[in-house]
Amino acid sequence: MSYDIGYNSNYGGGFGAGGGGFVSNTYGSDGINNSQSGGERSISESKSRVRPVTIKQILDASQAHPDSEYSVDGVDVSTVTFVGIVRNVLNQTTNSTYRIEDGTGTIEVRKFVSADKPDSDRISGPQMGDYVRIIGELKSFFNNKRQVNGNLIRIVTDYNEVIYAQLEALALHLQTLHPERQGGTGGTHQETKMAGIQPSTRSYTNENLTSLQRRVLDTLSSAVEQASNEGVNIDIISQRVGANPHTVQEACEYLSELGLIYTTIDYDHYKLT
Amino acid sequence: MSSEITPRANAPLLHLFQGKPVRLIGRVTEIRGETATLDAAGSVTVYATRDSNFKEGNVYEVIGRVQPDLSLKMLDGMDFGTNIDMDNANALAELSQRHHEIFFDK
Repeated sequence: MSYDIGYNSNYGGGFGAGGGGFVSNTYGSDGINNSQSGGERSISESKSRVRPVTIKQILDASQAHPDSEYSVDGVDVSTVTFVGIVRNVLNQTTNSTYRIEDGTGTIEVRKFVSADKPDSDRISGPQMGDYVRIIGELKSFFNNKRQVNGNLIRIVTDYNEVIYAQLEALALHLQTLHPERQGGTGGTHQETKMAGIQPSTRSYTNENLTSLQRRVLDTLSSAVEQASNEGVNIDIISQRVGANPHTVQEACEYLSELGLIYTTIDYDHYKLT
Repeated sequence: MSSEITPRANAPLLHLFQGKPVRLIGRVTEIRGETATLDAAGSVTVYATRDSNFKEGNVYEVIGRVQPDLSLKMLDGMDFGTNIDMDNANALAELSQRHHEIFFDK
C-alpha cells in the first residue's frame, strides 16, 4: 500500500501560521537575547540553518572530536527543531529543564528564564504532557550527555504539526542522503521516487510562499551582494522589493525557517542557501 | 529514566510489534465500556485507561502495548481533536517503517 502524501502543500501553511509567533519569536531580538545565558554568543553559531530532526537523530549525531560541531547525515548541525511531549519539568533559578520524548528517544532541553519575568515564563510555559515545538542549539557536556539549549519552546495546538514535524525530518534526511533524487527544476511534482516525499525546499518554493516571500527570494537570487559573505542587508532587500522593512524582515525569518535563506554576519543580512 | 522507544504504527503494521509499545494515531469509531475501536488504516481495538475519556469521532494518539490478538493495551494517550489529516498520519507510520533509521532501531 503506498501513500502519496502532499504534506508540504497541506501543512507548509500551518507550520508558518501556527508560527506567526513562532517565527518572530525565534529570531526576534527579545527571544535571542533572553534565551542565551549571558547574551554574549558568537555570531557564527547563529549562522547555521535550522535542521528538522527526530530526537533519535540528535542522539545518533556524531562528533569528530569533543569540541566540534555535531554531524547528522554527514552535515554539520548546530540548530535543530523537533516536536515532542514534555515528560518532566525541572525549574531552577536561572533555567527550566524539560525532558522531551518523541517516540524515537528522549532528550533534555534547557531554557533560560527571562531575568525580568521568570514567574510569568513558568506559569505560561509548557507543562508535563504538553506537545511542544523546540528550536535550539545542540550541546554536549563533559560526560558526553547531549542536551539542547532551547531558544524557543512553543506549545503545539494543532496536532498535525506532530505528524508534520517527523515527516519533515524524514524528508530532509532523505534529501541529504540522496541529493541526486531531487526534482530537476522543481516546477512540477514529477519526482516521486522518495516514497512520495517531495524535497521540502522545492515544494515550499513552488507553492506555499506569499508573493512577498517570492519577491524576496527573487531579489536575493539576482543580488550582486549574494556573492559576498555578508549577503544582502535587510534595508536593501526592502528597497528593492518595495515593501516596508518590518514585513520584509518577517518574510526573511519565515524563509530562513524553511532553510531557503540564512542569516550571515547578523540578523539583518541574508543570503540564499 | 523512562525512555522507551515507541515506533509509530497503524492497523496493518501492528503485527510487527507484538508485545511491544507503539504509538498509533487513529479516529475513534466506537466506544464500549473501557474498550474503544479506532480507525488507523484499519480497525484497532484499544483497551483504554480509566481516565482516557475517548470521544467518538476524535483522533487520538495512543501509546500502548500490542497484545497477542493485535489489540492495544493503552498506556497513555492524547486527544488530537477532529481536524487531523489521517493520510499523513498513516503515511508517517508506514514511512517510519521503511526508513526506521531515524525513528527506531530494528
